[in-house]
Amino acid sequence: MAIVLELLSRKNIPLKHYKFEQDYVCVGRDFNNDLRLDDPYVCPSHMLVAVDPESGLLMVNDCQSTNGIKINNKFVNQSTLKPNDIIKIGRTRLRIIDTKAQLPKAMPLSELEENLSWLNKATLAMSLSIACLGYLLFSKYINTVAEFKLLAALPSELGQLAVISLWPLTFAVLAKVVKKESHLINQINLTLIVTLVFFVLNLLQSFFMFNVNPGSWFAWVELLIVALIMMAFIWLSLFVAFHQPTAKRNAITLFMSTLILAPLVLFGFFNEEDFSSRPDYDLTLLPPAYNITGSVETSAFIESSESLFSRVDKQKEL
Amino acid sequence: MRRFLILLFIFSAFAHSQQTAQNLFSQYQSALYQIRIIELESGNKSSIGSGFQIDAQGNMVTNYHVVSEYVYNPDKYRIEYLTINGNSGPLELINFDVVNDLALVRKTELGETEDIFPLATTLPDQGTTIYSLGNPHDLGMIVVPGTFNGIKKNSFYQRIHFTGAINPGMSGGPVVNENGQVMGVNVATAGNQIGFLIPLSKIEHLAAKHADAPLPIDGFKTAIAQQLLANQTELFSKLQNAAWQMAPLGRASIPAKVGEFLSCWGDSNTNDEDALFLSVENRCRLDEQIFLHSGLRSGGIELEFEWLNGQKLGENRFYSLYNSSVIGAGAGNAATKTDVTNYQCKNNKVTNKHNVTSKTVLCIRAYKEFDGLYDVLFVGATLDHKEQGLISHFTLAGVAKDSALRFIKQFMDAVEWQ
Repeated sequence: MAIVLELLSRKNIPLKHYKFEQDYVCVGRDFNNDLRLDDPYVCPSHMLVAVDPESGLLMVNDCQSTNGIKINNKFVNQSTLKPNDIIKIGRTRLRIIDTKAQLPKAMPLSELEENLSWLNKATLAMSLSIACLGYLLFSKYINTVAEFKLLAALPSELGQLAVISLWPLTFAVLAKVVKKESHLINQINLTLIVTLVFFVLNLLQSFFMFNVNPGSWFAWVELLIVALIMMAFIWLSLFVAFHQPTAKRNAITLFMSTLILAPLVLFGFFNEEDFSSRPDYDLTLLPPAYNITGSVETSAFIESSESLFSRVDKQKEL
Repeated sequence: MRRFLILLFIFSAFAHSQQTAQNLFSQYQSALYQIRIIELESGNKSSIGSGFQIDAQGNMVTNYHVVSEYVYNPDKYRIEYLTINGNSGPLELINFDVVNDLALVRKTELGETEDIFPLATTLPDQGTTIYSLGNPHDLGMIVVPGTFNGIKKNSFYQRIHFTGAINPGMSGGPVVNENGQVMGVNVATAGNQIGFLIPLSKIEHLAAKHADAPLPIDGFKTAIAQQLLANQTELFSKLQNAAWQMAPLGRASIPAKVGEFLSCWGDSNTNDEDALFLSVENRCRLDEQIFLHSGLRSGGIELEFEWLNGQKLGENRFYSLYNSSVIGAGAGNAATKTDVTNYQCKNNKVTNKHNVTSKTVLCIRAYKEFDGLYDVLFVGATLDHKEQGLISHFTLAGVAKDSALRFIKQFMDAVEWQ
């Protein structure tokens, strides 16, 4: 019977595994050992893991070590071992692997993963960054009433881009920490694409507000769109970073989206009862070229405004 | 010799006015009172003013704003008078005139003899010395000689312009002529010896109610609502009947002055040489508002026009500036959560009868305690030019629905391109 030992990190994350075909394994700092550990707290010859010929059980024996052996956090001199027991010698942690235990089935390979391979292009990241920076600079130019100086504007807009890149960096670092590939380029591209989508939506919103004059219901539509994009974005970020079961990824996505969107909803929608001496109105103005809908006559506007009086009269009772 | 004569004349005039002031004060001090609003919980005064007795039945005149706390919370306050000798007694509220800031109160217990201030029959000539009496800052009753300078020009809410020092606490005190006859009531100061008085005719109007039974406590708000409604009807019919004076502003022609009682001011940024755009403003407003309580004013009107020209900016940058110029408009009058609702707004693109197309927003809020009265806020921005635009904005406070709608229509249809 083979003996399989797994080297663990301090947080029990598997680092490496060793498979031995013989019935005994000597563990220590000495180079003569079957498993050599480079740990100053481990004796040159620290312990022996062996299959008991009579019972066939796996046993551990202390070879008169200085620091002893801990099995599942208890000091032992000699003990039988069960699968998944954690042995601690010195500062090193080893796990006994049950070679007969059934492993879960392989996760089906997602086609999405293949379809997202185009994201992993540095040139794409470069052009998306330039597009984002270009938009930021252009909107800054549009919104400056004084003389516009490109060099003076550049640092703050680059700073904004840097702030945006914090998201992909965080996911890349997290992925690296759990021993996965960082997929930094994918994450950066994904984030920049979503940022650009938000920029475009912002322009579309102005255009819509200017031409259609929607009622207060439109705020809910906006919220819904933002929520859907946020959720898709978080889901994809997780998808690129970690190999998780879909259910877990969905749950994390839902949790994170709620965390981000809840304050928006609470402050934006449920404080209507608060008194304000300033009206909450939208008066988006765009140049004549964007004006595609017609206008009403004064008397029609006055007529449609009559309903305002009954609306505020109803509010009095609240 | 001549110089001596002039000096003598000046001295004698001064001595004369001194003499009159002393006489007046000693003669009428027993008809002069401090009016105190007592907070029931603490039993102490929460605000003070002055008042004067006008008849032997114990009726006194003071300012509405002196007793406004009681009017708004009759269960938390009571009204008291304090004589110059330190005697005090309760007062009941008979009636008031919120529009002219006057109140009529009555002593419930009368003494053996009651001194009174007689009302004058006419206003004096401009330049005449008149005497304001009152108790500034609770420092004791004083008399202040000053000059009558006529009814304030161009005001809808009439005030006498008095050159003399009026201070807080003197509100509601009488202003008398040399014969001790009341021709005004202290109401406000603009600092630097400029004071404002409620003129005689308004006092006479309220004093005519001297024989009435007191207003029922639950009728205070109804009375305020009726007075405000009647006032706005008069104000807006005057505004609508007046010929609106048109004036050019940029490429537009705007109603620069819609009534002679609005005071108008202009401004522009032409002094700013670095500015890439031109902004010219024209603002008109009613100088006075109606005081209802410390957190609520009404009866005001503001009209504003701003012409923006951004040919140096180009179309997109100009519209970004234009857009930021129309956001954040707020109410023209102070009001609290208990007084008014939140604004409700409606916006649309509107083309007026002169073919001027504007993006327009109209916001309304209602007075919670006065049925049929609203505050109106309007902002419009023309959409006819690529790099120029006219912003029109107004606020109306305490207006009825039909007056408001008529005014809005007239205002929106008034603007035209030259």
